[in-house]
Amino acid sequence: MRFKPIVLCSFIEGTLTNHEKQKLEFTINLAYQDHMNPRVAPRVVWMEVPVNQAFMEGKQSSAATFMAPLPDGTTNTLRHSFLYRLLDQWCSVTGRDTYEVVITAPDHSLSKEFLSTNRKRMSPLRQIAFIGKTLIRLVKSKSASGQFKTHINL
Amino acid sequence: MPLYTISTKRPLLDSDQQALVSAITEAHCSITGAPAQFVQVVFSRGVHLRSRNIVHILGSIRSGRSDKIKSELASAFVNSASQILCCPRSRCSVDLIDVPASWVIEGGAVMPEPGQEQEWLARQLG
Repeated sequence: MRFKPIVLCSFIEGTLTNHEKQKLEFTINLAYQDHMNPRVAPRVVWMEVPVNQAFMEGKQSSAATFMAPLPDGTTNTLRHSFLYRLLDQWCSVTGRDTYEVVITAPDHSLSKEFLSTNRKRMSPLRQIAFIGKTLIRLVKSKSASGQFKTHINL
Repeated sequence: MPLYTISTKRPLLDSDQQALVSAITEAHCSITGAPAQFVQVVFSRGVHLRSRNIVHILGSIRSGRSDKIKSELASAFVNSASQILCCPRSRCSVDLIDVPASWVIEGGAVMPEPGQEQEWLARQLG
């Protein structure tokens, strides 16, 4: 089966411009193609988090969080090279410090487990509504701005 | 990492949010021995939770924690949420997902395995 990763990028509202997101999307694509396979085309989803809803070390935080899945069984050598590539590109595009981003490159199956557990916090009927609402948000934002955008609040 | 996502239907008061952040950070550090620098908490609002729950906490934690530690974490989170939000414990739920430390970059370097944080921090700060 073809590997079609969904890269989930959470960031604090107002901390990334559309141009930076566009450049990051481009570099994420290149990182997948160089490290995995030239035909891998990740779908990058940008999730906004209001400034007063994110904390680190007990205090408000402006750190971004990326989850970029890799095929199950990827070696740590390849995984680490991929992770450091994303980190370098993040710093280069945003001009921000390495301390302001957390990047996870989980096995694809773990990423699916995470998304499934996240959905299952809701009742089955609400999960259907959630999926519908999220899809509408993503399609609308893609056609309006060229980027898949969603929000941490439903 | 860890990253805890706290979901509720209604927005919480700022004071309740801060109390939950402090309680979760404190519980995570005291139970696992991890430094507070690693603990991230985000809030998600407008979520219609299953089983008429008032609050749900989803935690991505580093692999290698024993079942006993995970059970202590879940229990501490439920107790804190129940007290802070004045709701029954049965309306608070927790899910924990294990993520290998070597799959995460934080602070500019691959995360340390549980128990190796001090050497990692010394290297990062040195």
